[in-house]
Amino acid sequence: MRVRHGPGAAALSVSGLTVDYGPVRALREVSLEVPEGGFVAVLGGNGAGKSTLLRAVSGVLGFHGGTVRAGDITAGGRSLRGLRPDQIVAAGVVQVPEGREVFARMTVGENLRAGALGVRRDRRRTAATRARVLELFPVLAERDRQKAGLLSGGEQQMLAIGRALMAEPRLLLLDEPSLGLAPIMVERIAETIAAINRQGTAVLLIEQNAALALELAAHAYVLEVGRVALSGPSTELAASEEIRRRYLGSAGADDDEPADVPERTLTRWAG
Amino acid sequence: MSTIVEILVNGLASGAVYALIALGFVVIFKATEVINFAHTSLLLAGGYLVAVLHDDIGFAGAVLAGVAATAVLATLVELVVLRRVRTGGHATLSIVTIGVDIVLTVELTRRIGTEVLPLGDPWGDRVVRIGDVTIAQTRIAAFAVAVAVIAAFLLAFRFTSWGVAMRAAAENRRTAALMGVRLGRVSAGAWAVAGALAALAALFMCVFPTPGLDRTTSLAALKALPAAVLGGIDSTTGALVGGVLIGITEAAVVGYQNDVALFGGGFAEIAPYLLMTVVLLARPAGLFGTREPARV
Repeated sequence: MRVRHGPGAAALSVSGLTVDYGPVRALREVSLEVPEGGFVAVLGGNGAGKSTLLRAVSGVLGFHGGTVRAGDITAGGRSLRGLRPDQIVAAGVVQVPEGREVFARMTVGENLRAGALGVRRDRRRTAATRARVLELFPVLAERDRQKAGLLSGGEQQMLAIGRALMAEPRLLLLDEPSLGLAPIMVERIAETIAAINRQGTAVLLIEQNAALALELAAHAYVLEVGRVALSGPSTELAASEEIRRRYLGSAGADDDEPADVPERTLTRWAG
Repeated sequence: MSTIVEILVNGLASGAVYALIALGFVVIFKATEVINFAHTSLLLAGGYLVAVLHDDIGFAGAVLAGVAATAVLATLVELVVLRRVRTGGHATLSIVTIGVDIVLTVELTRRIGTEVLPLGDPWGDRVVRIGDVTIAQTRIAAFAVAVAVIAAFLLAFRFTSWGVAMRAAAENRRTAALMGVRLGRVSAGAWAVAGALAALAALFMCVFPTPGLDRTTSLAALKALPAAVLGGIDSTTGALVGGVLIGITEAAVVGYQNDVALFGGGFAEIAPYLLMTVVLLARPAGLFGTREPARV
């Protein structure tokens, strides 16, 4: 197993995180941990609070009218709570937002350059990082001078990941990278994410595609209405009847209506 | 024939100055989505500083000091006033700038009074004659300086990290923040640049054939707002094209005022706004403006 749970060494540690959007509570005492260099997935349906979790980690809840009510977020032992988004990037925690959000009116090259704005590096190091990113995504080198808005969905996802890598993150946060992509492209993105992780970058992956997430990650958490409902090693979760019925859509399961499954059984793995 | 050449040359020169001002509107809008209604009073402040300083520290020194001080003043407006307003809405912030404009204008008007202040420029009322076309030296200086400054700005906007950060923030503030762009710095920088451009524009608005700086200078400068809007308030290209269009329109209306007497004597004053209205009827986002893409 790739998981190396060690106190103090976590790339990301979230404890008792509670987040509100005005009167609406989006996260309730969520705790999770991404070990240094580890690969952790967060599963859950729409509105489970997955994106809220990433917004809180990246310090951009304010853009959505959200606030952290309680709990702490630390990266490499350093608290991120209350830091500005740029300070969090400088601390090595970088997010690839949902829906890719490349800068459509800027060229591919400029997008990559924008990814390096959050870290102070000399030219040579930035060039080396850029070379590594282009090695990972050769298509971006071909499209260097094209407007990012003209790329295909898959290429935009590659650009969004490449842009984040320009900051040389210690922890990469990915919000639904498979969303809206063709199956073949999902496969390629998945391979790349695994490769990025093998090169030493810790990954926190948010996914609705549970099969994909459990295949990639060593450890997974399931969020339901703002709480951690389940957690455990991916292999165990993938084997569990609960997960198979609710998220993997195994035969006979009614995967449109996860609420049909009794809530009680889910709490077996809680905490 | 000479009339039309003079109109074009004069229009181009004053258009270049309008473009400087319009660029200020656009830069601030791109960085913060705020329309800065205090822009022309900042311009007035810049011109006033040049007017009071040039006797003591010379023209060049006064221009440098005026440009620097206006950049600082604009940054202070952003830091002290706008950043403290935590209502969130961009429309609210735009209205706050109207308040700032009133405060600045009242104070400057009090200081200027009814005087017309010379700016101590070296060109005076000298003219250049090419054939039977007469061009004031101030127009040539205005055009040359505006073109050089705009070119420098556009190069910086396109190639420097500052420019990349500005454009990233303009496109999507949240994503720019996720990439580590310091939004506070971006907007403070935008205000500083806009202030500097405004002070420089003030200089050329107050030299020959204008007698000097008076309290209505800011009103004349406000014609750059229709320039920015008709070009597309979020487009630098639009600011340049809009500025030149307004400049030439104004020069043409003045040049042919006997032919447009039908509209009355003050037609040159309203022509820019009329042009803006016509353009917006055809293109609601302005000539080069981007329509906000609908987010799903």
